[in-house]
Amino acid sequence: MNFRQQADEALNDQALRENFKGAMRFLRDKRRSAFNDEGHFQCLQGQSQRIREEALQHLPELLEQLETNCTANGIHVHWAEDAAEACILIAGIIQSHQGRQVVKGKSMASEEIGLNHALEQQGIQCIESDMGEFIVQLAGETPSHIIMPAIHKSKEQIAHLFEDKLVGVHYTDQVDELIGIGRRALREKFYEADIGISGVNFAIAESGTLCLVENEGNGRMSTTVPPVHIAIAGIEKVIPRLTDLPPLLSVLTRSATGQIITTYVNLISSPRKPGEKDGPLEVHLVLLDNGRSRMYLDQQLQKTLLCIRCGACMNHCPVYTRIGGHAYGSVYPGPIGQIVMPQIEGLQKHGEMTDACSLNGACGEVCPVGIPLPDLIRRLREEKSSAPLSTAPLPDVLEQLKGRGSHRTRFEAASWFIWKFIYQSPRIYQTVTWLISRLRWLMPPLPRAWTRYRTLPRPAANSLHEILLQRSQNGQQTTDRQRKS
Amino acid sequence: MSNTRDRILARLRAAQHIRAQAHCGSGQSATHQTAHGQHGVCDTATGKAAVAPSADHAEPLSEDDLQLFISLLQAAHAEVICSNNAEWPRNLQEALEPRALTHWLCSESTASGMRWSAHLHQYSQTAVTITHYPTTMEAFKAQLFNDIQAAITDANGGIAETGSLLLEPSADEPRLMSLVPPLHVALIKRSQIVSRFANLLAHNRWETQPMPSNILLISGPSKTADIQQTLAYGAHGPKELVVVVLLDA
Repeated sequence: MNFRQQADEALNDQALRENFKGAMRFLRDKRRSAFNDEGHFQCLQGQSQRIREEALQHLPELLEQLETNCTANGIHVHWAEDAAEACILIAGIIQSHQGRQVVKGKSMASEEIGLNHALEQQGIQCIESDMGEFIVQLAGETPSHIIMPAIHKSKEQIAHLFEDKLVGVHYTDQVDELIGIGRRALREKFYEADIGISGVNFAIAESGTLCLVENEGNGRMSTTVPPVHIAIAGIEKVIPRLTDLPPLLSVLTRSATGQIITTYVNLISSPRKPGEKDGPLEVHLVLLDNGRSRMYLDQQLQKTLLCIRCGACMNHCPVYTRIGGHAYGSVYPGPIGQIVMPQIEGLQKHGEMTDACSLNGACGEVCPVGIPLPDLIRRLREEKSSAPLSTAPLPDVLEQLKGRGSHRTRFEAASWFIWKFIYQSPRIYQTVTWLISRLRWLMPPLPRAWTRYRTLPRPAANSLHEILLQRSQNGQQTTDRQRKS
Repeated sequence: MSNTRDRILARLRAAQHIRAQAHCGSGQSATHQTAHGQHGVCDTATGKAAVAPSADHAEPLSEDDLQLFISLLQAAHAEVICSNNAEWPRNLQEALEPRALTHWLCSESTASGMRWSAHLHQYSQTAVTITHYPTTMEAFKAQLFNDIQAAITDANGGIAETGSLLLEPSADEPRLMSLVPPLHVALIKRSQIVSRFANLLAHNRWETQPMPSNILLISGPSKTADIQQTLAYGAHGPKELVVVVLLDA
């Protein structure tokens, strides 16, 4: 199924639409009430944008500084070029410890590399511990939202799921009881796990520290109880200083869930030190590239890397609100997905979703780090239909965007060529519009794709040009008559 | 793997180099205008222009900020008990009596841990087991996860603007004390609470020393809204957080 078919299916799923409508409104309202006023948001956004831009500007230096300081703190730092390498690396660490049971805190980077599946193939069981991810894993699905993974499910659906999949559990749709069931089921997993895997919200270069935020406590459990902790972070997650945390965290938590702070902010700098009584014996950090260094090459597209994964863009996107996360068929949905996915996996595969945009601009307005999302979506839309770049050899580092021109069709290219031809010449333009207005009865029906959801517009009897000309002539005649009398 | 590292860094540096050349050529500037002050620093709570706090200037906590600290914790479903250095064990015990807790985890090396143990031994209505954290977590993992009902720790600081406690786990009070038992009691002195997160960082200056292995900000009991956006407490961390504020300390 392609994107259009998936979107169509989602649009016809009334239950899904109700769930998403309510959920998105909830998240938008929460966000709005977390900022005192627009000025509060603008100031924090400005500061956060500057911090993220500075970090990007110095990305290679900061990554080296991060590596040096983490290593000095006792954290093993690894680098992974792509998803496959990251999975092999992580599986290798797990196998070196004869690990069999892995418990995972929330990590979109791990979804991006398909970690659970890769580990499963090695006979390693990987349990999601974030309540929403746990639910989605039980259901055999993927998350539909980057912050609230089970947002597409009602509590009744979850109640049935728990009853079916968990041993000794009776049906209850009381949320407190459902959470209690999840707590008991996962407590066992935290207890037994050999390995804990987590993501990273921010990696602080000056101190070699990993910052993780959460409300549930599963992140702390996963990164503290098992003897080995593996953290996976995209290379863009690095920030220079500890003092960058207050503005970034304040804008992240407000934008994501409308909180001024999450229940837990966890700063991890080293494994269990001599004399300490708990904490993992080993901590590993996997720095993931997976297309990010390529994004960095492009002056405009590198802004993709400013993202702090708050989810505000998708909460405010009218398309996402109506079709939900799964319709995109990608790890990252919504506006951020529309710019990230084509750059990671190519426009051939993900070009279609760049059309799923009304260019209303809400995403760009609410982005806490000022990513010009509408501009980037438009850029990728152009890229997918563009003619190939000139034949002049490109310098080694400047690569063409993967899949550039992959959606270019002769029909569309010809259509634009004809349009340009007509609009560039006033005489031809006038002739064509005259023809259309006079011969409008003979107009062929527009394609079904247009008319299925829209009323077919009928060309007027006269072109606008003619109407205005007539009016000005009438006006002149009136003035002349007035003057004569 | 060092090849991967070098390749990634080389690609990033090459991009920087090209951009630097482009900027020299076109004379573009990469600076951004800010509406608020030269520093461009905002007060995270209000969005108004602010100056970055300095380490030496530590203001006493205002009454408003203290109230903000307390009300934010309460809004997050934490229980807050205002007390003083002399009476807190008695106040705490009275508040917790209805819960009939019989198995506690506390430190045998901190002043507050020892005072609480002593108080429970002397005044508790029911028989109470007090466990101390052994040399390693592994030595009492089953007990920690299954039997211990409550733990008490000190806090090392607090933030008024967010209603947060700062904990710096150590050998005396390890990380899991404030995570695994279903009820967590944290003691904080009024003098340790600062107004803003930025002040806390300025006060501690962690970046100038080897970092503590783990630093925690705790702002309430564990919670989640993952099921139909309905808030529920006690997801994986403690279901209850009790904060004892020592007003005279």
